[in-house]
This record gives sequence, C-alpha cells and structure tokens, in this order.
Amino acid sequence: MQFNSIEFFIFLPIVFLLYWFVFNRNLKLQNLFVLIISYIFYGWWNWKLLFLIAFTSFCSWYSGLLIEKFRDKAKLINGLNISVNLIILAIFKYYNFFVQSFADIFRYGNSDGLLLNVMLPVGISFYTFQALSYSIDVYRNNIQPTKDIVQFFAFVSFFPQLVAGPIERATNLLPQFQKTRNLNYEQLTGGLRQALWGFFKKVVIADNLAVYVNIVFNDIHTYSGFPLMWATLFFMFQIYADFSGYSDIAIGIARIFGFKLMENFRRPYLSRSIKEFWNRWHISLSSWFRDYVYIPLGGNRVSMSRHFYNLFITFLISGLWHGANWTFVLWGSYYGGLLVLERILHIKSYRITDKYSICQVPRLIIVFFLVFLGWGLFRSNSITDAYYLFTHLFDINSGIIGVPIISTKTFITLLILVVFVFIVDCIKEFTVKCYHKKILIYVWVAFLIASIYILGKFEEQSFIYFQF
Amino acid sequence: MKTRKVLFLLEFLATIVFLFLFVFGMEYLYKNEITRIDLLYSSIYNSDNNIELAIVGNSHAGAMGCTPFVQTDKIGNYSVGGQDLFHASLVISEVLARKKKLKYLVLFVDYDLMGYSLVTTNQRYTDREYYKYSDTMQDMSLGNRIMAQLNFFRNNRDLSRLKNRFTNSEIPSVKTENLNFIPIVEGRDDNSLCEMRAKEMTSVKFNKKLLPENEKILSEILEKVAKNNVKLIVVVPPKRECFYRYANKLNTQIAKKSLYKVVYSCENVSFIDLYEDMSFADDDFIDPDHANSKGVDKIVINISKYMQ
Repeated sequence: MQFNSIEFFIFLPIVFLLYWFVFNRNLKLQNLFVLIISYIFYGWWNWKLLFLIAFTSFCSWYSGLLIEKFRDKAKLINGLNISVNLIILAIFKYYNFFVQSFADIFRYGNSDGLLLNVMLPVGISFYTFQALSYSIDVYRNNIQPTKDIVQFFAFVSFFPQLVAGPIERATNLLPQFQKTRNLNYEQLTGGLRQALWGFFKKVVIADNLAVYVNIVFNDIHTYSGFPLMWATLFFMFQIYADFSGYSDIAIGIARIFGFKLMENFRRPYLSRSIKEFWNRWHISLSSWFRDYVYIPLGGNRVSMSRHFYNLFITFLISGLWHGANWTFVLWGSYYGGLLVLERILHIKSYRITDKYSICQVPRLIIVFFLVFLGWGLFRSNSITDAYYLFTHLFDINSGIIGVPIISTKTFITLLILVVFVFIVDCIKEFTVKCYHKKILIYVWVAFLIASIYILGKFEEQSFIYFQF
Repeated sequence: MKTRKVLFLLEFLATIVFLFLFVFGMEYLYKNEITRIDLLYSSIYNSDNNIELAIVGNSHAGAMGCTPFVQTDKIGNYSVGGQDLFHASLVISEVLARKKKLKYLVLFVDYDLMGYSLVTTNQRYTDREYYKYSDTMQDMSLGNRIMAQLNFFRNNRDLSRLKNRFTNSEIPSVKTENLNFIPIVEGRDDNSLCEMRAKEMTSVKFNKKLLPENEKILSEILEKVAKNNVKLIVVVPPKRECFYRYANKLNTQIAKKSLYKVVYSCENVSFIDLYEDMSFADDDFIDPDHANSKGVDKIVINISKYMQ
C-alpha cells in the first residue's frame, strides 16, 4: 500500500480509530494490532513477501535471546545472524547484478540461465538494516533483548517507516513499544501537519519534477547542455522532495500513533561541507553506517591512510546499498573520495548547529554544485549514460528548455516549485520560528490543501527509495 | 486536556469543511466547461444518421489541414488530437452502434501509435474525459474513477479556462467552426520544430512495452468493424522529410513491423501507407507532420482509390 493511494486514505482513519478507541486498553493488544496492520500494509504489495520479513525478524529476535543466554558465543551468534540477513539481501538484491557483471567482464556470453527470476521485495534494505541493528546492539550491550516476539515483530514492521525509513534503532523505537501510549492532541495535530507537508512534497513537487527528469534521463543521448542541467537540478529537488516527503509522512503518521521517529533530513542543500551534507541527508542511514560500519572498521582513531580507507569503503558500501547498479557504486565512491579530499585539504567541517555567516556563501555554492554532480551520476541509468551526461552537461548551444511536451508555462512552474522548496528550507534554517503562530498555520494548511488539489499528481507514483 | 481535544476537533472539522468547500467550489466553477471529448461525443450523437463514411484517429486525421468535427451529410470526422488506439477503439464502438448506414471507416494509425498511450504519457485527464461516455477507461483504479467524475479533473485542472471565462476570452481548443489549424508549437523555426516533433512522437512518447497491448486493441478494432460489415481503410499519414531525419529509426521500424503484422493478418482491410510516400512534398504540410489542404487532397485521392 502506498501513502499516496486511495486505499491508504481509507486504511489510515480506520486503523487510527481502532488503535486509540478499541485496542488502547491493553498494551500487548495494541502492539499486536500494530503488527497486524503493518503486515496488512506490507502484504498489500505481495502477501508472499510477508514470509521474508517474518523470517528476517525472527532471526534477529532469536539471535538477541541467544546472545543474552550464551554470552561466550555472542560473537558467533551475532555473526551468523548478520550473515543470514546479508545473504538474503544479497540474493534478492545483488545476485543478478553480480552474475551479470561477471558475465560481462569475462565475456561469458548469455548469462540468462544463471539469473534468478526473483522480484526485489519493497524496502528490504530498510527493514534488514533495522533488524540487524537490534542484534548488534544486544551484542554490544546497548539494549536488553526483548522476549516479547510480538513487540519485536511490530518494531521491525512498523508500517509508517517500514518500506523507506527512517531506519530506526532498537534503542529508540523498541522502548516505545514497551510503554503505554496516550493520545496527545498536540502530537496529533503536529503529526497530521507534518504528514500533509510530506504529502505535498511528494505529489506536488517530486512527481511534477519527475516528468521532466524522466523524459531527459530515459533518452539522455538526444539531449545536451541546458536540458541536462535542468534535468539534473530538477532531479536534485525531486529526490529530496520525494524522500524527505516520505520521511515526513512516516514521522507524522508515527506521531499520531504516539511514536517518535528520528529526524531523517535537515535542509541538506544548505550544507557548507560534504561531511555536513551527510549529517543532514538521510540521517538515519548515515548514522547507521557510521555506527555499524565506519566505527567498527576503526573510524578516525587509526593511521591516516587507514582512516581514509575506512571513509572510502563506508561510502562505497553505502552506494551499493542504494541499488544494484555500477552508477550507485561510483556515486558512493564519489562521496568517499570527496570526504577523503576534505580531510587531506583540512577543509573545515561545520556542525549542523554552527551559525551561518555571509563569507560561507561560496562554500554553500561549491557544496551545492558537487552534490548536483553527484545526483547526475546517481540518476543516470548506466555508466555510459553518466559519461554522456558529464561530457555534454555544459554544452550550452542547446535551447533553454529543449524538451518536447514541456511547455514554457510548465517549465516555469517547475522552476517555481524548486525555488519554493529552497525558500522554505531557508526560512526554516535562518528565521525565528514565527511560523508557529496559529493564524499562519491555518493559512499554510489551507495553502497546502489547495495546492495538492490543483497541482498534485495522483497517479500513485512510487516513492524513489522504495526500490532500495 | 479537554480544551485541547475540543480545539483539535474544531481544527480537524474546519479542515474537512475547507476541503469540501474547495472541491465543490471548483466543481461549481467548472460545471459548464466543455472538453474536446465532450465535443467529439456530441458530434457522434448529433451528426446525421445517414453517415456512410467515418474518419477516426488523432490530429493527423482530425486536422487534415483544418479543424476536427467537420461534417457533411454523409461524412463524419470523429477524430481528436492525441488519441491513442484504446480510445480510438471506444469511439469506433460508439460510431458503429449509432451510424447504421455506415459503409466505410477510415482509421488513421501512425506507426508510433503502436507504442503510445495517453496514460503512460501524462495525459490521464484525457482518459478521464472519455469515462462519462464509455463507462470505461484505461486506468480503472478507484482514484482515477473518482477523479473522472469531477469536472475540474476532466478539464485537466486548467485554471486558465477559469481566467479566460472571467476575462470573457474564448478557449481555442473548444472552438468548433471556422478555425484554422493551430501548429503544435508556435514561434519555433522549421528545423527545430521538426526535431522536437519527431523526438516527441518517436522517442519521448513511444514505449515499446505497449506494442503487444496495442496490437491486441488494433486486432479487436479490425474484428469489430468486420463484424458490422463495414469496410475498413487503415491509413498511415504522411510526414515531412525533416521528420524522418530526426525520428528514432529503431522505434519507427519496430512500430512499423508491429502495425504491419496486425493489418496483414486480416484479409478485409485496405491498407494505405503514406509514411514515406514520395508524392508528398514540404508544401503539402502545415508543420512537420500535419497535412495542409493540398496534402489532404492527396490523402483523399489515395483513400478514394479503395472505395467503390
């Protein structure tokens, strides 16, 4: 079931009412209800995939119990659980990619007979990582294992964030399943407002920009110059609006059910360094890789060369996490390389909380441009396309719009949408929080509803990160 | 707690009321708006029942150098710009059901139409426009069916129509008489217009995954027409030389093969392929792919050869 579907608009109020007014008397019953509705939500795509998520959940839950019981063999059990989960992920997500790549490299010829005819389960990378974090945290003694299987299964499959994050940590979300939750009306209005804003970003911003982006990137070799630049810029904002929109809907819906999920985006295009960008973009994934890959590799408390290696390899894996395509591997390496370069050149890395000054504007522009190039690589359908993109991106002999079926009026609307997202981010980052005044909130909500009705695309286009 | 609860309920109620007022307000404003498909169907309903020849297709058939819906006593042109095979099939069903004296049906099919659909090219609003008359659409999802009932959505949520109404200016796309052909994009030089149209038709809007589905639809059309004892003439309209130059050769070939496969599988169909017909010159066109009155005359001569 997609957030931007009619089914979900029927599903949500029903489960909301049942959750707060029928199953609210007993915590165990309420958790069981969360589990059932989460499985219905996920099974809507394909009920057979429920076995996979149940198996993944069971492995991690049982590993947690075994680790606690056999502390002397904890490393082995944890290692086994990680292996099983990663093998499942590898089979469904990477097997065909690697077989095809090896066949291409060694000129094996037709590799069709070796390929598996399996579909990629929606959100497999998200829930696998969430389940893995639990057993690792139990192993590290960061959390006590839970004996309540329903509670754990509900934690892994919690429907708002199941298919595209934020990738929650057991240390944050699991305890919330252990405490009684009360209906808080401020949380309810705040959650609904956040979900509405996320919905706006998805159906108005991302899906409209997607039209131009798809036309160009699906037939990239027929364009050069401005259309490529616009398409890359539009994709930059499409993916931001799409993914942060999903996160806002997830966080907002979780709030109306009494849960607090972690923040996933914090105005990433206002970063002053690449490191800062990764502290603002897909925060739940970046911090996951930091805690479970980068730090175990030794982090920065090793020799300089080893530190650079750790950085690079972490981002390389992060790139591969995004999908089975060499463009993602290259994209991860690109950021790994940039971060190593930042360290070598001793470029100051800002914290999110550091104040801005006017002399940081050139940094903002440089980082924006580097991220822009990174998205070009990310969106390209193949390495050949990426090569074509970068060799023709600045060929400015083409027309300004240059894309069939996109009229000047539509193009200007798209530009306005991009500027709008950027301005909203600037307002949130730089101004005092005057937008908490009631009257402004009412006007804002009315504006969002009217815009969604007039400009929203209701064709149930998947969220980009569903494929990861 | 109680005050917060009341405030929340009031805010929630106000939001719902606002949403309903907005939706109904828009419906009220758009209730009298007429779409191209409304005009198309009204021309089918209102045209003479003595019609013996019907023309169905997209702008290449509808335009024929001038506006669609031009009728004579015995000829009915039921074409509309941008129409795909699925919707052409709906129109043909209606025409066959209503025009009992029909002898000939001329169906214009471009090669690229075999890989084209309104739904996959962001024109779902047009798909919705048909629903009122056909009770079916390409996208029959619940959401689309709801939107198909709303005038605002049937009109592509086009606010300029409202603006035009308030400023009393007419909307060119719904004029029905004395209208000269409007080029697809104005203000472009000849060559870039050619390039743009060719790319649009053979690359951007073309999707080879649609070939099997469109082959099936076309086969059904041929079967349906044959069952009604109507002679079917399938015409591939001509294009200008500059169009071929920029057209995606591979897609064009795939589509041509697909069209030929279906048409030649049926015995009772007359097939006229004018795509690369050398008798058409640049001055037979008003733009890269739409014939002017001189070009239309040539097309008509070709068609008339297949009529008794």
